[in-house]
Amino acid sequence: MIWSRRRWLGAAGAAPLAACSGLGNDSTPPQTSESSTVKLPRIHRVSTPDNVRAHLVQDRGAPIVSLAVSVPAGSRHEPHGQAGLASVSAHMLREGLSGGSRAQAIVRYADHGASPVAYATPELAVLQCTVHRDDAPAVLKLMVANMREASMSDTAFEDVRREHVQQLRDAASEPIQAAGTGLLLAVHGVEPPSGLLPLGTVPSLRSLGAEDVRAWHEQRIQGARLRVSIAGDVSASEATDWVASAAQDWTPPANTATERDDSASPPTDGRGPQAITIPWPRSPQAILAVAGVPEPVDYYEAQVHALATNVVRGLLTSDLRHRLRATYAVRSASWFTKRGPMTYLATKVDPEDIGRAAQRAKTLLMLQQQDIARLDDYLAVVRRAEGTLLMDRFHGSEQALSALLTLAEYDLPADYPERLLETVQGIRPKDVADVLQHAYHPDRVRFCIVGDDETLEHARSVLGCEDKLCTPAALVGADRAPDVTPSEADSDAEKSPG
Amino acid sequence: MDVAPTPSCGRARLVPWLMLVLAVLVPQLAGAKPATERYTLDNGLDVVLQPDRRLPLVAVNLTYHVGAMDDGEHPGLAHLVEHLMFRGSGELEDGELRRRLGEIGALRTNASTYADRTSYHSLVPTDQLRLVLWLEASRMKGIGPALTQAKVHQEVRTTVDEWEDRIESDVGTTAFMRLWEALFPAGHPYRHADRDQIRQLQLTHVRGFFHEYYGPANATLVLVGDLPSDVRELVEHYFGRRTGGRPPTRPRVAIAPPTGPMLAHPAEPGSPPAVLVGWPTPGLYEAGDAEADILALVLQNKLSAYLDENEPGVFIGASATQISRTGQSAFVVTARARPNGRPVVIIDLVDRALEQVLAGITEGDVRRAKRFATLRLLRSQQRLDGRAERIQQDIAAGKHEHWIDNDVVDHEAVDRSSVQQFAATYLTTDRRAVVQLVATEASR
Repeated sequence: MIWSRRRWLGAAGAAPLAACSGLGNDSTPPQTSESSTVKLPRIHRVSTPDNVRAHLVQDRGAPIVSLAVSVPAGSRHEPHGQAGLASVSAHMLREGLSGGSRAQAIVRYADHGASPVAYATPELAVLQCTVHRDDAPAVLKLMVANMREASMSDTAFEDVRREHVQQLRDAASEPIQAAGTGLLLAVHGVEPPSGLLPLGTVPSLRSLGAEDVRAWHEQRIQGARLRVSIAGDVSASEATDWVASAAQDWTPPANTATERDDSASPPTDGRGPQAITIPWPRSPQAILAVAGVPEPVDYYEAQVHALATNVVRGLLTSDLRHRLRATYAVRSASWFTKRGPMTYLATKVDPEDIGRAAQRAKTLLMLQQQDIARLDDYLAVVRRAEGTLLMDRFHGSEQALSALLTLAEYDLPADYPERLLETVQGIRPKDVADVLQHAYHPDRVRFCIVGDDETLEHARSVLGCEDKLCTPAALVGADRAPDVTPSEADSDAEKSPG
Repeated sequence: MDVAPTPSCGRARLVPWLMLVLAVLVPQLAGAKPATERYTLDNGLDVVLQPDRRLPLVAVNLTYHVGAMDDGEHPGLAHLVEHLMFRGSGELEDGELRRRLGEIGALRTNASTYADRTSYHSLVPTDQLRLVLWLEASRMKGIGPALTQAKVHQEVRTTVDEWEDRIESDVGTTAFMRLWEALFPAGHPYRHADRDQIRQLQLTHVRGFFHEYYGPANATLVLVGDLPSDVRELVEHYFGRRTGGRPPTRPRVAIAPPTGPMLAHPAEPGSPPAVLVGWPTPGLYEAGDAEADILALVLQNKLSAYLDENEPGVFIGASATQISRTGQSAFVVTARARPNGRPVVIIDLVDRALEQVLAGITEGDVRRAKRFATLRLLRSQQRLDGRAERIQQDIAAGKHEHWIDNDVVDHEAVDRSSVQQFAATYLTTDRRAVVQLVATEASR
């Protein structure tokens, strides 16, 4: 290379500049800080009337505010045999208010640029949306009125129930979701397993009547203590005013039955088979899914389980990539069920590799029981990353609202981010190893395989454990319910374009 | 390619005075514009710095202005190069970049290949920004011996698997791809690569592509967040000595009518029948693009409601969207029917519903859709990484880093007559593509 005079002068000038600034040579990586600055959000408990609890997180990233109103009317409070009732009732909140139609309600919200969503979690019934900060007081008022005065017409109920049945069918026709539902059956032994999820089952939805939903709304929603969660471009004093104005007509709780009731959902009462096989003819890929058996733990202890699951995920990804040259990532997904959260791992593999993949997973789970040395390094990285992860949970008003709803879901204190950080920083390798030994012990871990007959046969021979064959329809109970109710059939006959 | 006429709403003439009026009338804009600095290094690297002190985090987004539309004779090449940039380049070993970013607590580390750009992005602690800049600058140095033909084969397999995973395994996505192919026929720059084309790709193609386009003179670095006071020195230090890169030569993309007759596509047993209708529409930020956005939002609210009211029990739901691309966009309406619906009738019902809804659009519908559109823009600005991404999108489209303000103005200028004019001009039955998801026996 010929160096010009300009180049020499440039280099001569650049060297001392780099030295003075401490930037060093650009071909070696700069030193990294041992730890990164963490700035956790302050969650304000807003002063409110007796009948309401409200929390606020400020985020001034954009002039918007995310709002949620919720009550403890989630799926784990449903009466036996009425799985899906909480979710149908929550969705009814979008079907009109004050006796008006769904279309009218859409317009009332849309006048403020809002488009709310409603849903049920295991603990809560939630109505939420994001709006410009100038619209927030009016929209919050509308949302509270919506909780109190949902229209609950028979026609709307039929529509919502039909949508639920369709969503269940859609979920059962997506292989990864079907695998997760299959694992619910393996872990809890409940049939149909989708009954542990807010959507319920096809038969339980068919058995619901509009009067059940109206009664649920009256008892569990109208009569409950309201929770308001606000995140975004708003001060504590403004939020206090908004909540006081919006909730002034909210009736105080009628009885304590609508308060948090931790006995409402019994712990796991049984275990299913160790493996579930789901036939999926003509599928181009097979699916291997794995779940540890969850222990009853509180929110903070669950972090150790999450880390243990992540360890298994990392090991499985690396192992399958190197030994099977699999290219699909091992995904982690969580179900929030009536029996608590369940996280599962799932990966797609070529159908001919399913036997080897299952074998690798089994071998790996046995090997990792003896090898906790590497956990030290892993936990060091986790401790470093946890601060960033926590900050990210409150980054942006919509994300921050989700974090506030976690607080409501688990009834956590306002300083839960600090406690969470403390918990994760304090986790020792032995804690994770203990969970691995219990939840992911090869004798207790659960498998679900999705694929064609040959694939399933392959996997069975390798796993060598008790398994249960379950069709996608059976996961949601669609195999035991008529395809349509009589009223729907009549409607179809009248309106069918065919 | 023929160019369809544009709506004669005269929006371009309205913009200057509207900017003044809206500064007063649209409070959404007030206070939302952060201080932004933009400059160019001697080697051509375009740099945008936007401080935001909310959190000790920085969104790092390095975008090369080359994307899938520049694949040329090797469809799938831009996406493959994106994958391989994590497999060893510059001084970095295979997987080193991800490992190091993971160790410092970086989040959302990923890359995306668009039609006109390829973006590498992550959200990192401010204290670790130096390392992240070093990593990106090292990656820009070039493809070294660490990248082998074997790794290319592995990533070819990964991208093919991705294709099968995301597209082939879902009947709805497959149907959408058929519609896309009808709207963007073979040879069109927005046509997606298929599996067989991806399998043809070799290391030499990757090296050539990288050598041509991956360099500072064809890149924009956007940093948004808690920037250190010496950020300019850091950028100069780590990127100042990189060289190379040039913008690709691109064909001009203009609106062309779709090809082929109505296409039928079998649904999976159990999945409901559906129709997808697509029209070629004006490109991103061109006259008519904002009208299309607003119309999609109006239809989003009104189409399902109309179908529920007038065809009860037939439809599960309907949606509409404008997918904006430079030069030519696509306006897509999707309607899912209940299992007993017959597609040939569904399309008739959708046509009737569209006609009725379009004729009945009110000023109130448009006003509400505009509010929602503005809110959607603001929502994209709440996170640091969202802002960085939006800036890159606008720069790639040839606009300035504050173009979001103009976008708000464009949407505010839409009114009922311009929306209806847009629909009359572009959403006609003679220039559309239709894909039907036909119910199989088991799904009835």
